[in-house]
Amino acid sequence: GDDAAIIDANQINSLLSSNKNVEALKLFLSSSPTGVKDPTSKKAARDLAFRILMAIKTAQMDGAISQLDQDSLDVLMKFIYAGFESPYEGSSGHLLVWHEKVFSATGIGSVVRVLADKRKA
Amino acid sequence: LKMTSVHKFGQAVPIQCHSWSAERRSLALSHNNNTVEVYDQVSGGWKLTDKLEQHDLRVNDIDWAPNTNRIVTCSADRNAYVWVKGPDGKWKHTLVLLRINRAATCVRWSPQENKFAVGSGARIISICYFDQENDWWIAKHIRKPIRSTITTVDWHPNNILLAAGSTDFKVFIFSTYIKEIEPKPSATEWGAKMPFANLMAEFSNSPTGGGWVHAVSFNSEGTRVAWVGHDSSIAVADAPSGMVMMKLKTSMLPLLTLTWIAPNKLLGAGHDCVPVLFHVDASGKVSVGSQLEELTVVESAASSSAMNMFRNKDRVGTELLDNRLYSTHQNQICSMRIYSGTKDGATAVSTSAGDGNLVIWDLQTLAAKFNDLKL
Repeated sequence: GDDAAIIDANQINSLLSSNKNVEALKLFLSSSPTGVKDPTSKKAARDLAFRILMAIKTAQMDGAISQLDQDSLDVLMKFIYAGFESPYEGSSGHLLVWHEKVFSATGIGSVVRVLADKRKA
Repeated sequence: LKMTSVHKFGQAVPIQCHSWSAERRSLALSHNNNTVEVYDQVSGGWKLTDKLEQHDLRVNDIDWAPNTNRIVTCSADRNAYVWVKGPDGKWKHTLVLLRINRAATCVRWSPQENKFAVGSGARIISICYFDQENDWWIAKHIRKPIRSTITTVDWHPNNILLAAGSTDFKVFIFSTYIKEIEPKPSATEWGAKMPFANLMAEFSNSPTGGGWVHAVSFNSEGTRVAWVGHDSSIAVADAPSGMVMMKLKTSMLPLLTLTWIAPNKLLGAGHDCVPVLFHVDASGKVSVGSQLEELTVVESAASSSAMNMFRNKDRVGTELLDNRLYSTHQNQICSMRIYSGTKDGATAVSTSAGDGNLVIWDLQTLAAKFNDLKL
């Protein structure tokens, strides 16, 4: 159905502080974060995504990706591109690694869906 | 026996659409312009026997009825023509007033060939039938709840129900029952009441909104409808299970055309330029099968290293790019037809593409190489 976002920022921040970064990512992605409509909340969602993606080290990425289902991977790809679109300081290199790893799991299909889906990150 | 045969028809201009005569000895196609060319098979190739020139703008679709031997064409000029071959061997045309103010996008004869459906950018599907009394084709409109361009239509075997795909990411199943020309239809898994233009079912390709629907296909029994969307997905809706829809997000580029080739198999093709097999299990779940070509890249040792690439760049001044694809088709496949067999068991399909080629794929020979093609 048409899910509205139900991002529990407190829970996610709490997971990040206890270094449970992959858990934070899974929770974020399953909260329909692309369902956010107003610009302020959208920026907040992107900020949160950025924090999670930067917190997960390169060595942990493959493990994280293997725990995500197809829908979550599509959402993740949307936030990776959102990160390219409005880059945060020093993030691009890390995001490029994320992109490469998600791409090898999903193929070009997820990139097509970043462009084709009306609901954006 | 060859797995594929490649057919060329003049210049390498995209073949937008094609349709075969009943015995497959003749082929009607359009090269992305306002003309339809009819070719007959002769020994060693094809002979251009007719040019159907009436449309003012690009011909978007052609359909050749196997039993009545009539050709219907539709165009961006908002018209459709029905072409009948006279005793003198010449094709005589009849204009069909679709009463639309946008381009006609797709056309298909109904199974009994007494009606045809035309999709359009006018957010209307025109259902056309021949009125004996006035000696002309009448178009009846299906409008509600269509809110965007119709891109594709396909008929249910009962000659009444029609599946249509749209650019607002939806697939509709409508009734096209016309009491003047046919008996009242009996109930199907899609419902019992079928007044003209009744919406029997509606499916959304994506809840997050995405992916124009490029092609729809009813299975041979009419119990399932499959479609492909621009979000690189393929989906199947199953009426008997209560209209359950199962969607597969693929890792490929978007598919543009598809057809059932067996009760549990679909063949799709599109921007990856190679037909791909999909399996549909008893519950309607879709999974990807073989591609009909192995795209092995034969890299010469000299060209493969990064150092050599830069060396070549330095020497020649440009990159030595080999733009040739390793697939038979060199551009996106836009149209696929069953060449022999039926949706219950197809033995060959034909594809036309942006490279101006038409390829016939012999599925029985290919099944020896790709086991999951075996019916």
